[in-house]
Amino acid sequence: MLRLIKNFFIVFGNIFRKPHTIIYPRERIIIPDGSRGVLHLKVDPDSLEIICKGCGLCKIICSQGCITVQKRAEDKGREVLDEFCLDLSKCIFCGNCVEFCKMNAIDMSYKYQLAEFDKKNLKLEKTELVKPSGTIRDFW
Amino acid sequence: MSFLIKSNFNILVTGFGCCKQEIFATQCSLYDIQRFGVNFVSVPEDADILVVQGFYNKKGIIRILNIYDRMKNPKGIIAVGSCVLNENLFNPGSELVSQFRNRVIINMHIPGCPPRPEAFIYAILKFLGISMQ
Amino acid sequence: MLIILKKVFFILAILLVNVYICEYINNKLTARMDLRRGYKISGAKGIGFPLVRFFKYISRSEKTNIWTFFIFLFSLLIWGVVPITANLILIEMDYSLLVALTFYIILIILLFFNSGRTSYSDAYSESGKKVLILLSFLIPALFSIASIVLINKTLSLKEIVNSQHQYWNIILQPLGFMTFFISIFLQFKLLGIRGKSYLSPGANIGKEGTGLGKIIEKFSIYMIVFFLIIILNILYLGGWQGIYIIRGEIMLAVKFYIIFVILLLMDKSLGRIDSYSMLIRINWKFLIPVSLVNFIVTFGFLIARDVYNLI
Ligand code: SF4
Ligand code: SF4
Repeated sequence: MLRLIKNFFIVFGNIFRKPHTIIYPRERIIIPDGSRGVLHLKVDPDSLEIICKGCGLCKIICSQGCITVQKRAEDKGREVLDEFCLDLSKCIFCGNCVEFCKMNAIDMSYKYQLAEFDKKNLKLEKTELVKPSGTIRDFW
Repeated sequence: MSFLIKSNFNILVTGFGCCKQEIFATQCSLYDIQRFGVNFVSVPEDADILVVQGFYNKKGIIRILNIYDRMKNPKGIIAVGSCVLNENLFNPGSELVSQFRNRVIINMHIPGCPPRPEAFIYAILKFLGISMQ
Repeated sequence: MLIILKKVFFILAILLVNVYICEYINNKLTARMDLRRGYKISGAKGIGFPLVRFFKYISRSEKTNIWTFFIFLFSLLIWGVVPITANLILIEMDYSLLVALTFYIILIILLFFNSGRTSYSDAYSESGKKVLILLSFLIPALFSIASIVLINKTLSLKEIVNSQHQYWNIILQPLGFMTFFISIFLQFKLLGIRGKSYLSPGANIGKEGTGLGKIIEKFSIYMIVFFLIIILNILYLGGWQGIYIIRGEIMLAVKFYIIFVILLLMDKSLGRIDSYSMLIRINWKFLIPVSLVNFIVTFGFLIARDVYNLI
């Protein structure tokens, strides 16, 4: 009974308090540090080349099998990444691939606003994964 | 008609997954999805859209198809989480969800395991065509 | 004839406007109680939302059945005998209190029959229990009403209001007011204005049904709540008696909305009822004894005063 009366006044006071709501498309929410979003292919800041050499370790380690990597040998035996495709519809954002990468060539961005009408659009190619938007925290 | 749907949009959530927690978080005071006129209902006849997430067994698939049949036109399906988009995470090799995917048309795909509540709101807004500034 | 039609039109207009306002308050205020913002779409601050919802429901289906028709009829028939203000009454009779209560009981039983037509097999046993609980809340209310009738020595609602021109009945009957108010609140809770209706079958399936039938059901639930609040006003709070220069109608509206908001707040603060045994306990161990004691005290007082001339 006492609890009921206490609740009554709390609820009554709530009418005059400011709502907690974040006005979604306009306002910003700071998502927790270290939360995992879409994969991001790192780029060497000096040579502007993709660090990934296409060794294929992430392809082996990924439990969902959503990464496809292909490498191609250039002249002088140098190995270059040819194709890097991420199927977002399979990815569970576990972060295994980032942990196991020997070259430190990939990391997790904070990008999480993902929704597509067409399932084909969820397959991300190399050119989209390189885009540097993800390294800083992605606000609204 | 489109104006009515835009300003009062009813959602029916099915499935027994963990994505459900994140979807229902959008009802609460932090992400108040009701601002856009979106309501969570429990009757198929009332719903505009079916949210499919999580795991299903054989009976569950039959039931969800029943629910989809009972819904009134215009209707649509939003698939949430990699369980529906790809395969059951805790029972790989199960064909049920892929059977389901072949039977119906899925209008919106939200990847993630689970997707953040904001991603769900983003998908709904994208579906309704409400502009994002 | 023309005067009666005019009155009917006025009563309908007042009811519809109040249903609209109450639906809006219900949506917006409950959102604010959760520290949410509530609807902002469809007009400034979501003012057009009840209208949009109405058309949405209608666009889904027009299916009705015979029960919904009767529900609609009886929810309007109540207002033929219950006076909203001094002039807005269609049929003036001496037993309007009894007739109104009869209509009310019939309405609840009709709602019960209506909720039975679903796809769930145990619907009747589920909602029958709840209707019985709801009707059992009428017992303390009846005791309180009986003591009011004893004091004012009339069964006509208009006379009851007129006899309160000096002081309201709440001063004479604080205990009766309390039991009546709690019983109203618990009926309000069971009817489920906010969110889920406990009358519909299944604990989790509160919003069963679509289309015109659903709208009528909702409308009738609002009518029941309006009826209860107006009866409370008439019996205890002086009805349409004006205070000094304030007109009686304005006083009635103010009292009405204050009670409605208080009921909403209490509904929110109690939360969801899962165990019906708690409701039964409250009813039989608290409300009925208290109202019975109140009735006996009033009865004894009147006997002592009128029959034996003791006081
Ligand atoms: S985050 Fe997990 S599921 Fe996604 S690509 Fe990396 S290893 Fe695969
Ligand atoms: S996609 Fe992930 S979070 Fe969603 S139901 Fe499946 S396992 Fe749970």
